[in-house]
This record gives sequence, structure tokens and C-alpha cells, in this order.
Amino acid sequence: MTRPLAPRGRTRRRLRPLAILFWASLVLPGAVAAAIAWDNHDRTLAEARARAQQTASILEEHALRMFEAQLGAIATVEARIAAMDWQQIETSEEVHRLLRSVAQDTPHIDGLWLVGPDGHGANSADFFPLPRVDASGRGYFQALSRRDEIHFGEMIRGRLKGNLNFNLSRRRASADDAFDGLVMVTISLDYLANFWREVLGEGPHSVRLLRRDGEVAAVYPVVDEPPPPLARNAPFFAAMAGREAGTYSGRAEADGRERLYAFTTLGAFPAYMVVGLDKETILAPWRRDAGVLALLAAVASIALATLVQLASRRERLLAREAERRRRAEHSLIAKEEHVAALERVETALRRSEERFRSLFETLTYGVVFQDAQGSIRSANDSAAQILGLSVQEMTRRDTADPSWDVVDGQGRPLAPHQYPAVVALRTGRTVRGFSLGAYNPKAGERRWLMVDAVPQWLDGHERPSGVFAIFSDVTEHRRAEESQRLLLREIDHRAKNALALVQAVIRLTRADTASGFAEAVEGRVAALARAHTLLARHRWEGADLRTLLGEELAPYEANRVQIEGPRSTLCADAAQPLGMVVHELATNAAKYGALSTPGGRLEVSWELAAGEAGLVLRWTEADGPPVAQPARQGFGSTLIEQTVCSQLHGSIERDWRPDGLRVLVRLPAGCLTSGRRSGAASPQARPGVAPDLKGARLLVAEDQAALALELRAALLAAGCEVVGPASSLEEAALLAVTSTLDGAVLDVDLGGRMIYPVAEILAGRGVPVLFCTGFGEIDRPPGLEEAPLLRKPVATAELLATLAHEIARAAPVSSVGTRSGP
Amino acid sequence: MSTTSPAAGPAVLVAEDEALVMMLIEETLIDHGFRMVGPASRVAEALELAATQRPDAAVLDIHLDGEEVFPVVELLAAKGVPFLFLTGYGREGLRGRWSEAPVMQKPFAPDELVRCLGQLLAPSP
Repeated sequence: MTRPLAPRGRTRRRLRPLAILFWASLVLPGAVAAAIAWDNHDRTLAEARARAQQTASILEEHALRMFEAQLGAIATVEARIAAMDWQQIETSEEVHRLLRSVAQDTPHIDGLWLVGPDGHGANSADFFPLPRVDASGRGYFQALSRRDEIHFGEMIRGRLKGNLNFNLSRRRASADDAFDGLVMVTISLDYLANFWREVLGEGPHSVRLLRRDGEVAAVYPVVDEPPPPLARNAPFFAAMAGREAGTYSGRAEADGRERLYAFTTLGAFPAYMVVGLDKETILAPWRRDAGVLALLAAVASIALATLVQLASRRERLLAREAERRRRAEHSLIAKEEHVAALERVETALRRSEERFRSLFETLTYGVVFQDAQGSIRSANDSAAQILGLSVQEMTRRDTADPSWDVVDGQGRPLAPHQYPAVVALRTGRTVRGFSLGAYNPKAGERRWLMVDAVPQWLDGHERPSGVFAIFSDVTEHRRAEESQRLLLREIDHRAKNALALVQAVIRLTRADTASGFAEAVEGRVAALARAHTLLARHRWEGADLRTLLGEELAPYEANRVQIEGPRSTLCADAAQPLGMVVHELATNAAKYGALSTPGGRLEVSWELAAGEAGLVLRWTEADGPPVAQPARQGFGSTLIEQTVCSQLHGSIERDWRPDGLRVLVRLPAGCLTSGRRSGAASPQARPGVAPDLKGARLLVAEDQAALALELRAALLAAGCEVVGPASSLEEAALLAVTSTLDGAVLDVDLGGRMIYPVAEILAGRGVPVLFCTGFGEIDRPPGLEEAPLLRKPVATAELLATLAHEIARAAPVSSVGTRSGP
Repeated sequence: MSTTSPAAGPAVLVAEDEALVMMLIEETLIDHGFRMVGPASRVAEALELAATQRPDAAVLDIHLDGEEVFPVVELLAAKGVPFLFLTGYGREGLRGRWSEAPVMQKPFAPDELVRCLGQLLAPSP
């Protein structure tokens, strides 16, 4: 369908003149041709009519001459027989010869007959003697016998010769004008037919020699039997009606053909010559011409119609083109509107896209999109930061690349087919809360991620088209959890240890009575509890010596007990044992010594000493009962000795003087957290001088043995005490929790794990921390942002100076206060 | 402070820095016919004892005055001395190649300690 749809009516209206032209082009040539043919037809018929008349005239002329010649022949015969009677005539061979010669000489004469007045044949050209034949019944005899001079006979069949002919006969009259026989000429129909055929030419034309009464004398084409007379209502009679000549047309009854007739009277003879030209034959040339004309007309019609058709097609094309243009204009407008709409949609989409893109980019969650094959297609900045890879590096890296170094939540290696995104792609189900670790090359450490993997579907697809992996960095959470776990374990450990001590107290205490046993156990457990309470009050970092002594000796009257010494803080490990020692000493004093009598006094004093002997504690009893060295060492004494010597690595001297027991306890500097430094100069105190770290207890965490040894050697050379070196996180954590420390040197990466949980424990204890790392910048955990970071290889001088500075900075104010103590 | 006990039973090296606990161990050992070697309250002491003495077994706290006892364990293992850990951490405090070693949780039942030592000292089948 190429015709435009909407404006059909308009197109039809526009095409109307052409349609008229089209039909005209079809009709006009035909009409013109028909007119021409019609005209030709009439002319042809007129010409034919003229020709028929002409022919009729020629034939009339010829017939008249022929008749004249016959009448002449009759006259000749009459003249010959004028003097003869019928007997003579009948018998005269001479007459017969005459007749024969006349007949033979005249081609159109068939025979000559002489008939007597009685009607019998007398002589003839063909027979002699003539067989007896009676002609009295014949029309010519009857007509002539009655009155006529000459008789024009109708066509008859001869009795003797048997052929068809017509005759012309003349009456013989006697002197009294009575009928005296007749002379008759029979005319050859063959002759006439030949002549007429020559004149008329070929074709089914017809000629008739008609007697006025309608009897047929001769006819062409030849017939076998004499035709019947012409009916009175035949068209001939209507046409001739008193005229000598004329034309008419009609259908011949004999052969049913339409003919154009021309007739003319035959001189004085009561006969007509009628020529019939065959209409079909006449019109054949016209028909031929008309056919040609029709053909030409048809050709012309076709040509014209084609031309018009071409024109109309052109017209249609033009119309269509115009329509197309009109539509194009329309569609251009529509297109512009469409484009505008599209632009609006696009703008909306772009804005939406931008919003999502901005969300995607600013999300703190890492988002990575992977296609159906698991290849990373896009990722946001957070993902890049968490994974320590640029987006390009991510998209280039294969899922199975070992560099990802992916482990599950328990730290076991994770195969690529177990990755949450791969699982989500395979199963088509969302994976939530999958915990995994991946190596972050920028940070140089493993990051812990909590991953959701959400498969994406395209409409009608059976498999996911891709997957969004959404993850958050839970490394800090894990660290916090880890440090919490370590602390919980440490609490458990301490509780167990405390219970172990209580158990030992119960097991080892001896008493004579149940109440005595209970009292002793209660006293010792209470001493343990007091030390614990004191330590807990100071976050397990140490206990003030004075407070410790005061609480242990609180049951006794204050005026009898004197406690004196500089402010000193016992380290956590020393507080409880020393508390137990004091408890045992006080119990003994209350049982056997100065506190057993109302007048007795006790003085406890201490001083801080330089070097190994950090603390010297004096226990002096006075005004009590006289004392002597016990014969047997009881549990209490054993406990005191074991505690001071074995546990605290100190020494004890007991002097059972008569005026009272004197005890001298020396404890190493390690039992104090701050006391020893009170005598040592800080870097600030002696500016410009190499930092003095002598006696500082430093935790070292370093997993590389060579570096650890080197570090240890350097620190020992600087007079430090080295705790560790710890080579694992657990080891470092335990040391951090359980040791008395002045500072820590920590390698950031310890056996592939970050040291931060340990650093946080230390920070919580107020221990200054120094990081060493082989990596670039690192993200320090909260609370440690200010901790110094040294890059490997670490210069010893820098390490020592930094350490000294940090330790001095972190030194508690109380260490200054010791000098101004009581 | 005794480094040897008068009884002539199997010698057990004790490394424990908590005096009270150490005393309880000592009492338990002596009461059951063992001879105590030590006790050591520091790694260095324990190492020295392990090197110079020939104990039949050892009872070791893991943390001695802030240090880990594992060097001592190495030495004892090298000498073929059976040992057990006695620690407030329980098995959690063990690591590496010693994570499957015999361990007793503090506080301990003295009879249990004796039973474990008996197992350690029993001739291996």
C-alpha cells in the first residue's frame, strides 16, 4: 500500500480532470472511428447501389440486344416459313437445318421451335423429325393463342431436351389475323449465367430476369429447378411500384443473404432486370477498413489512455510527494516534540543517574558491580579505599587472582567459588552478612569486610546478569572485638589466678582450731582482696604504697602505727604480693610482737634507692614484748620469704631484736612504676644531653628475628629493660596486659596481623607507644593518632630519642610529686 | 628457700611466680612423695634449673614475671623431660607446637596434679 492514507478524498478530487481525460481518451478514438466507419459504410452502400444500378443497366442492355437478336432470328424463320403450311413445315428438313444453323450461330439461343396452331410441335433446331409433342398446355401457347404478339416466357424445363430455359415466342397469324401457330426461341440459361458472372465478378451476387407478374425467367446463380414466382409481398414489388428503375435491399429467401438490389425495366418487354449485390461482399472492404480503423482507434485509445495514466501516475506521485512532504513536516514537528520529550526524560534520567551516582560515590559502603562472568565492571571510591586498589586495578584483576588473598571470617583461605558475589551469581540468591578478609596492598594489611552480594536480573533472563557486592570495612570492629576478647580472657585469667591464690591460702593455712583457721584464712583472703581493690581502683596500673600499707594496718590504732615514706607506686604485679607480706608481718606483730601489747608501736618507712635496689622498706616494731627468733618457721614466715625472694626478686632481712622485730625488705626497681624515675633526670631536665632511658621497661613486638635482636641489643645498651620481644599478636597482647611497662616499640604488622589491639591495650594503660613499619602512611587507631611512626630501617639514635621524648611526655605528675612527699 | 626436697621420690621442676601457688604445689608434691626442683619464678631461673638439674617431670606456669616459659619448654622437650602447664589461661594460653601439651587450669585440685604427674611419669607403653 503506497497510497497515502488520510487525504484520499483530496487526491481523488485532484485527479478528476485526469479521470475525465482518461475516459475521453478511451472513448474518443472509438467514436471518431465509428463516425468514420459509419460514413464509409453509407458511402460504400451508395456506391454499391450505384454500381448495382449500373450493372442492372448493362445487363438490361445486353438482354435487350439478345432479345432483339432472337426476335430477328424468329423473323428470319418466319420469313422462311411464311409460304409454307404446317404440313410442309413439319416435314421440311430444310426448315430444320435453317433452325439448327440459326441456333448454332447464335450463342445465346438454345433452341428454335415451331409449334402449330393446334399446339403440337412441328419442327425444331434439335430434332428432325420432331417427336410428337403437345405444347397446348404451355403458358406461351395459351397466351399467344389468345391475343399476344410476343410472349416472354417463364423458366421451364424442356420436355424433350430436359434442360432449364426460358423462351421468347411470336404469334403467327393468318391473313385474317387468326392464330396460326408460333415461333419460339429458347434461351440458354448457361450463356446468360456465364455472361452475368463475368459482369458481376465473383461473389454471392444475384441476377434475376423477372417477368412483371413475378415469374422468374432466368436467374443467377444457376438453379436446378425453376424457382417459384416472386411473392406479391416481396420487397421488389414495393420498391418498383410503377418505377422503371430503382434500388432496394432485402433478404433473399433462397439463401437467406442480405443483398442490395437494383432493378430496371427491360425496354418494352414486360420484364425487369434485377441485380442483387451481396451486402456482405460489398461491405467486406469497408469492414476491413473499419477493422483497421477500430484497431487504430484502439491503439490510439490505449496510447492516449496510457498517456493519461502516466500523467495521472505522475500526478499521484506528485500528490504523494506533496503528502509525504506534508507528513514529513508534520513528523518533523512531531519529531521535535518527541526529541524534546526524550530530552526531558533523559534529563530526568540523568539527574536520577547523578543522584544515584553521587550516592554510589559517596556511600561509605564499598560497592562493586560484577558482570555475569564475575568480572568487576565498576566500583565506587569507598570500595577502592577499602580494598586499597584503584577502580582500574580492580577491573583488571581477575576474581581468581591470588593477590586478593581472601580468607573467611576464621582466617582460612577462601576459594574464588566461595566468594559471596560468585555464590550469588551461581545461586541467584542474595548473600548477606558474609565475613571475609582481603589483602589491602595500600595499607599493607588484611582488611576485614562484611559483605552483602545482591544478584541483578534483566527482564526475562534465567541467570543473574550481574551482582552488586556491597561491603563495609569492619576491621576496626574486629580489632575492638579482638581487644575486648583479649581483655575478657585476661579478666578470666586474673580471676582464675585470684582463685588459685585463695585456694592456696586455704590449703596452706594451718590452725589449731576451726575458728582460728577461719580467722587466718579470712585475714589472708582479705589482704588479697585489698590489693585487688587497690589495683582495680587504678585500672590495674599500680597501687600507691602508702595506701596499701595504710589499708593493711588499718585494724590497728593509728597512734601506734607510723607510716612514712616518699610517694611511690607499686606496679600491679608487686602490689598483691607485697600486700600479703605486710599482712603476714602485721598478723605476726599482732600475735607475738609489738601490736600484741597495748604499749607497742610499729613504724613502717621506706625510701627509694638508686640502682637495682629500687625500694627499701623498713619494718620496725618497738615497745612490745621481748621477742626471739622462732624455733620453727611457720607458714607465714615461709610465705613472706618466698614472696619477697621468689616472686618479687627482692631480699629480706629479719632481726629479732629484744626490743622488737626489725625487718628490712629490698625490692628491685621493677616493683615500682614510677619511683625509680623520680631520681633520674628526664630529657627535659637535661636538655642537649643524650636521652637517658636507663631502667625503662619497654615492650618490644617484632616478628622478624634479626630486627628483634638488633632492637633488643640497642635498647639494652641504652640501659633499658626489654620485655619480649614478642613475635605474635597474642604474645604481645599478654605482655601488654601483664607487664609493667614504660613504653612500647611495636612493629605494625606482626605475622600478617595488625598490632593495633595491643596498641589500644597499651594506650588504655597510659603506656606510650611507638610504631615501626615497613609500609608508608598507616591509619592509626583511635586514641593513637599522635603516636610516632618510624619507618624501617630505624636509626637507633632516632628511636631512642623518640622513645625518651614519649616516655617523658607520658610521665605522670605523681612522679614529680614524690620529691615533695612527706 | 629449698631447691631440693629431702624425699628421694621423682624430681619435679616447678616454675611458678606466684608464691602462694608455688607453696601449694610444693606442699602437694612433698605430701605425695615427690621431690621438688626449684621453684623458679623467672624464665632465666627455670632455664638454669632445667639445664643443670635432671628432673623427672616439670610443672610450668606459662607466664613468669612477664615472660613466657616456652624457652624452658624447648629445653625440657629436648631433654625428654615430660611436663605439664599450669595456667590461669587454661588451654587457651597455649600456642604453636605446644597447643596439644598437657595443661591444668588454675585453680587446681592437688589430687588432680598428682594424678597428671603420675601419668607423665608412667613408662610409655
